[in-house]
Amino acid sequence: MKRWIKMLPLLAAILSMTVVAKAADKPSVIRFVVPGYVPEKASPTQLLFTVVWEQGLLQQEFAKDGIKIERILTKQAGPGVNEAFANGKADFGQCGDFPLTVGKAGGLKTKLILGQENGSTTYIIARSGTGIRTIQDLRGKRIGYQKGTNSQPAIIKILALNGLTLNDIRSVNVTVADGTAALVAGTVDALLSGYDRPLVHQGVAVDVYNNAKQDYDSRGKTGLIVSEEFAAKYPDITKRLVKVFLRAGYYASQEKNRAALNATRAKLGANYTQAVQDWVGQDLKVKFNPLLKKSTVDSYKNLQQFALKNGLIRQGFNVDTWVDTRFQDAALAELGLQNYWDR
Amino acid sequence: MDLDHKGLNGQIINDQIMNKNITDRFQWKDRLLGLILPVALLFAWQGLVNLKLYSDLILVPPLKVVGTLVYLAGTGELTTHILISLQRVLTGFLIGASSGFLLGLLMGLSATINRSLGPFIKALKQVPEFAWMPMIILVFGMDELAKDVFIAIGAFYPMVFNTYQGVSGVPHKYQELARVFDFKNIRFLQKVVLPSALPSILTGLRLSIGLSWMFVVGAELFGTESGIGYMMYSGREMFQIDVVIAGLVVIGAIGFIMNALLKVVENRVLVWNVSVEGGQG
Repeated sequence: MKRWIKMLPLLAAILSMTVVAKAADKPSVIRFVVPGYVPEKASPTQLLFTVVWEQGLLQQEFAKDGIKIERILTKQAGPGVNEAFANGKADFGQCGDFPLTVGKAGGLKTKLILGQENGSTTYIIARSGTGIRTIQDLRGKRIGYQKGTNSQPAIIKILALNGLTLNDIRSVNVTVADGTAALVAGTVDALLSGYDRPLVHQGVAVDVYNNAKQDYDSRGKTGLIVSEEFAAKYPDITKRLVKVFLRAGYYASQEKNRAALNATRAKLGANYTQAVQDWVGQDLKVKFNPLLKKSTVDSYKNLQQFALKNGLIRQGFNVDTWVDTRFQDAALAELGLQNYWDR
Repeated sequence: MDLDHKGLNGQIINDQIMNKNITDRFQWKDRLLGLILPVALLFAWQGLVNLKLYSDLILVPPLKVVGTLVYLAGTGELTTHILISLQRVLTGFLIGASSGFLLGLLMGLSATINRSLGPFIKALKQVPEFAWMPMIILVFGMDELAKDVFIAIGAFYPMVFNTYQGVSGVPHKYQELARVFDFKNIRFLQKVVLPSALPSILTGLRLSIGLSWMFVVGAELFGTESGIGYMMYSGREMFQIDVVIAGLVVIGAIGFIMNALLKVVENRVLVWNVSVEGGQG
């Protein structure tokens, strides 16, 4: 009996360790960073996250576990997402493929676990009265765009298609919000923008160009990343989060939801008509195919080569080992959606 | 008469030199002491990285920063950015310091001008320099002129206040002597006011150029594709934190060198003045 009593502290220690281990099976909070330059709203380019957030899908999924969802909005767009991961302030994040590539090339310990939206159209708008009507007219003009975001490769590609380079224009590094003010003030002549172009709607600016007719892969896309540490520590939680985003992707891929999606986009600060026009001729099932399929991985490889060639990143990385499809495949199977999207 | 002029100026300069000899004496011991903190910080920095107490993606190891500096110097990128920044500093400094000097001089010489402009300038000084930036962008756009104006604002204040202090603080005995010698206007300025105010003016110049160098980084955060500030900002957006830290090192080093050089010039000018005016003995 005395022997048993002596062993009690040891048993208590084992029991407490088990409790700690059990507690470590799940985090108390999931921190999700996403670009958001409209006050308290995600950027209009982050539609799937908004669908998930507005419908409370993440909260519903993890409420029973007592896991809170913390949304971190960064006005710095993609570069801000990278900084949040570098600071250890985020577990999951979503932004453009270019900042994701830049972050990984910079050494961020992340895994690309799911695609989001494919073929985001880039628009170039010019202040009314500048006389800018074509890409050729941009020669020598001050063009605003934010470096480190999808706008950077976009402008290089658009100029190249028209026989120009960055040396032919005067680049002005501005966020979308600052760029809008700069265009009005006349400190930039033209601006790269997403589909939400309030200045065009107000007649202050005019559309010059958009790349909507290019194929989905060569336009910008967005992706979902997780920190390596989180994915290794909480694989089941990671899979469940991916499952939530697959459900959102499934919702967004259906033609019957087009109007509702456009209404959501309009609420993110866009003009409803512009949101509708932006998707004319766009196949939602292709646009919201979230799978990290071979063509998607190849487009990330091409983007990396493009970035290296243009001196946008100094070192490359292995895209194949960065992409982790385990969570996507497991979640697809659980949802029975293995054959829904093209691979 | 000339000898008398020299005697007056010599006395002014003598007083200055005595003060400077006491305050500005740099000993090797002091310099070594000054190195202790930076070296300790360098070790602490490497230690934090080695112990993995902080992400090495943010706190990039010192050796990697050195490697980045070598790489940037090798590509010529660093030299280009430094030269462009220095060019901007020079332009902004010349605008800000010259206008600051003129205004400070006028305020020091004329109580009326001082009473009418002094409170306004002091009130403007309360506006943090970076708070000017949105207005500058709106008024001057994002071109070089906006950067020059921003840097000039930084250069202006130390110059105007130090010049005013120096000019208004000409000792009464010098003014009395000048009256005896019947010095008027330019001659009074040349022989009494400026020599007497020189240490203060030189301090103003040194602070002014130092602030210009600091402000160039702020000026290059918007609407530019060149300069050290741009290099750092771009490094942040392209997640090249080594470039950001390399930029910090370069800014610190150049600022330090500029300050040290101006200090030497300051000392030399004062000594030169003394020897020319024969006031040493």
